[in-house]
Amino acid sequence: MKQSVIFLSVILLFLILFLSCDLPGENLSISERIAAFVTSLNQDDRSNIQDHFHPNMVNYNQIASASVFDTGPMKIANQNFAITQVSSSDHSGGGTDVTCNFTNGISTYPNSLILWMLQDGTNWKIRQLNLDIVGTPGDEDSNEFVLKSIQ
Amino acid sequence: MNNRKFFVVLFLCLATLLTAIEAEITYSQGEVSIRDSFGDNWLADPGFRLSSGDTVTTGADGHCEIIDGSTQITIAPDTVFQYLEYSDSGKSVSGFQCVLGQMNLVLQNITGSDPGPRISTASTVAGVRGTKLSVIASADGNSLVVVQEGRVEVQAAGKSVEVNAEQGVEVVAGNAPGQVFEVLRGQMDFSNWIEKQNQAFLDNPMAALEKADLQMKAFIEQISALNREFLEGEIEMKTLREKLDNLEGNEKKNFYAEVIFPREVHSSYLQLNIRYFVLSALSMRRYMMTSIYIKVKMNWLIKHDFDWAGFSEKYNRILATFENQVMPYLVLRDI
Repeated sequence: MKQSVIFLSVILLFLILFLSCDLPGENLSISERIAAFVTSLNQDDRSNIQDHFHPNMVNYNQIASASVFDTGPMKIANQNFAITQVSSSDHSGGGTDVTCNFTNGISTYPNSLILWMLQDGTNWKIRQLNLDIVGTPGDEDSNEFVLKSIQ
Repeated sequence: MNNRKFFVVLFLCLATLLTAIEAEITYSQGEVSIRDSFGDNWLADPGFRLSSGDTVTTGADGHCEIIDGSTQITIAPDTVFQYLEYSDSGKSVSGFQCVLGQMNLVLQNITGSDPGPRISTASTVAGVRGTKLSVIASADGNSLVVVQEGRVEVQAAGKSVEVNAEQGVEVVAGNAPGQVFEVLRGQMDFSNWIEKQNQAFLDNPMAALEKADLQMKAFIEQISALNREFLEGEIEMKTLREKLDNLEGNEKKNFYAEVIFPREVHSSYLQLNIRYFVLSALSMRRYMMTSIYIKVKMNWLIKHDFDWAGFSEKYNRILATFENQVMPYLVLRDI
């Protein structure tokens, strides 16, 4: 019996390591999360990009299944992405709004990106993403890429 | 560590792996269960948060209440409800789908530019403005929409009708909405309608199957149309990208911002909407088709008064259509 408990414990540990979105020990700060997100955007394998997003997001499942990133403005063809934090403020729904400059391989002209960052356990994750190439996020023009939650 | 402790630890560890939340269950009574988008089943305790793709099922003695923003949804007994995400005019909105049974909704604060949530059954979509309404779906896909307050535009099979307070409309699966009828206040008991639908469905199961077939084809048509639009956009995009590659500096930047970027955003939203209809078709396959099969088979075992082989053949043909045309869009976690 003791041996089988040890065996099952090893299997459980293995499952946690491989199934969990957040590996034990991964406690990314806001800056670290944004840096990790940019690294993922600049890789051709986007299979783990969902890990950067908070599961509260209504789009969460779509990001994993539909090719939202690979068809939208963060597609591989636009690679050489860079995100620079400009300022941050408290978000009314908890967490932090981080205003960033966003550039891609097409243009180094900075575009407006707002990331609503929220903690998922001890990890900071992206709860909402608003990218606006023309104007600023939230200005209600049609040129805004939004991956968001619904309040 | 004894066995009991071990399995408690095992359960807690696995439970922490699964967190998907958005709308919240605020009240539940009787048998109410949730199947999440990972395929796992949960008890619908108050405080449980739903995420896109989750399905709430109530038993004969079960009902529950869900809050999503300013919308309150009451799920009646014997109901299958699915919570989805949908993109309307470039905005993400919640989708409330009554697959089978009855849901009652109270919606508030929908402004002119706010598309509001998408309220649907397998055969109907309702557009709402500050409204109290009930949506009922029968086992064979027919729907009844009854408005208590406000105004609802009911769409089905490409046609729409406006339904005002204390009015209702019936939609036969695969058809346009029927005539709007008056409903007297205090007489909104739909159990007779559901009973009548169930009886008609058992009297003529082939007709029910025809309706299910039409509805499945309607979902597939929407998926195909969106996918066609997406693929056409990709062809156009290829030409535009070639043009972009030949530009430099500000000209390149402006061409990207004004021409390419809006198309990229649109492509993403098309993918999102394809996903919505794929999940709707899956939900119909999983709940409505299974319900039809079980009820008809039980009826046939008792009465033997219709062509089971013919029914079975038609049923399998619909499933084959689903497998060929919807399954390729599904991902592992849906199944």
